[in-house]
Amino acid sequence: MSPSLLEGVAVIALSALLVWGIRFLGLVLGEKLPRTGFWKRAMDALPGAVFAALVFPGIVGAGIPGGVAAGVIFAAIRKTGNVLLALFLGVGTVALLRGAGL
Amino acid sequence: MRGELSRGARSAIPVSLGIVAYALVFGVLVAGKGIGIGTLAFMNLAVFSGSAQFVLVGMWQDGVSAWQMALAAAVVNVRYFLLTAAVAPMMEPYGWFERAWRVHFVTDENWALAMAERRKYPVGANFLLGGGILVMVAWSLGTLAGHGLGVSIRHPGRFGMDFAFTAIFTALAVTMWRGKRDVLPWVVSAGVALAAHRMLPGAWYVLLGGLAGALTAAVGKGEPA
Repeated sequence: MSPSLLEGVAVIALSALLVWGIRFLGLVLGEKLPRTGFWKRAMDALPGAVFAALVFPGIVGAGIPGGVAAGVIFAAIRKTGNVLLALFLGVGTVALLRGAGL
Repeated sequence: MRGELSRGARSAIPVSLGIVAYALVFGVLVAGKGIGIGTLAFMNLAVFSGSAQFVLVGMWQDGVSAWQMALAAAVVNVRYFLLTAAVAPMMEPYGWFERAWRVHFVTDENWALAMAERRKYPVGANFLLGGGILVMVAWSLGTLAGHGLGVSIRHPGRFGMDFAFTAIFTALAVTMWRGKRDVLPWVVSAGVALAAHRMLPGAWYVLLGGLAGALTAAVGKGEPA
C-alpha cells in the first residue's frame, strides 16, 4: 500500500521545505560553521554513514542473495565506479540466485 | 549575463546525459511504488535532489510518518550545507529573495562544474543557474520517461527489481567509501540501524544509524582532519 495522493503531496512538500532549508541555511550560516575538528569529521562521514544505515537492514532482509549481491556491487564500484552497471549486476545476482532456489 | 547562463548550461551537457540514464532507473522504481506521474513531476521540481528523492521513494509506504520520511531525505542532503556555503560569494550581488530561489538550483553536478570553472575564469551565479536548469530538465525528462517504462513491468520480484533500491543505495554507499577510516563508523552505523530496524517503527533506523556512524567518525582521532 502507498500513501494517498494528498499524503504523498504533503510528504513531498515537507521534504522540499527541509531540503531547501538546508541549501539556504548553508548559504547563510555555512561559512560560520567550524571547518576543522569534530564538526568537519562528523559532516565528512555523515553521507556514507546514512547510506550504510539505509542499506544494511535491506541486505540482511534479502538473505543470502542479498549478501552475495552486496559483495558483487562493492566489487563492481571499486573496479569501475559505474553506479548503473553495479545496479544491474546487483539486481541480476538476486534474480539469478532466487531462480536457483536460494 | 545571459551569456554566462548559456555557458553554464552548455558545460553541463555531458553530465546531463549521465543524469538522464540515472533518472530513467529512478522513474522505473517510482512507477513500481505506484506513485503517479504528476506526483513525480511535483517531486522533481520541489525537492530537486536525486539522493533525497531516492530516499523518499525508498521509504514510500503506509505507516511511515511524513516527518520521518522528510527528515531522512533531508539528512542525506546535509552535505548541501557545505556546497551552498561555498557559493555564498557568488550570490553576494543579489538580494535575499533572489538568493533564496537561486540556491534551489544548486546540485552536486552543476556545483562541481562551477567550482572547476572558477579555477580558470571568474564565474558568477548565472553560470551556476544555467547548469542547474539543464540538470533539472535532464532529471525531469529522464524520470518521466522511466516512469512510462516502469508501469509496463509486471511481477517486479521475479526480476529482482524489489532489490533495486537496496542495490542502488549500496552502490552509492560504496562510492562514498573513504577507505579504512570508514570501517568503524560504518560498522556502528549498520549495527545501530539493524537494531533500530527491529525495535522501532518506521524509518528511525536511517537517522539513528547515520548519526551514530557520523559521531563515531567525529570522536575518532585516527584520521586526518
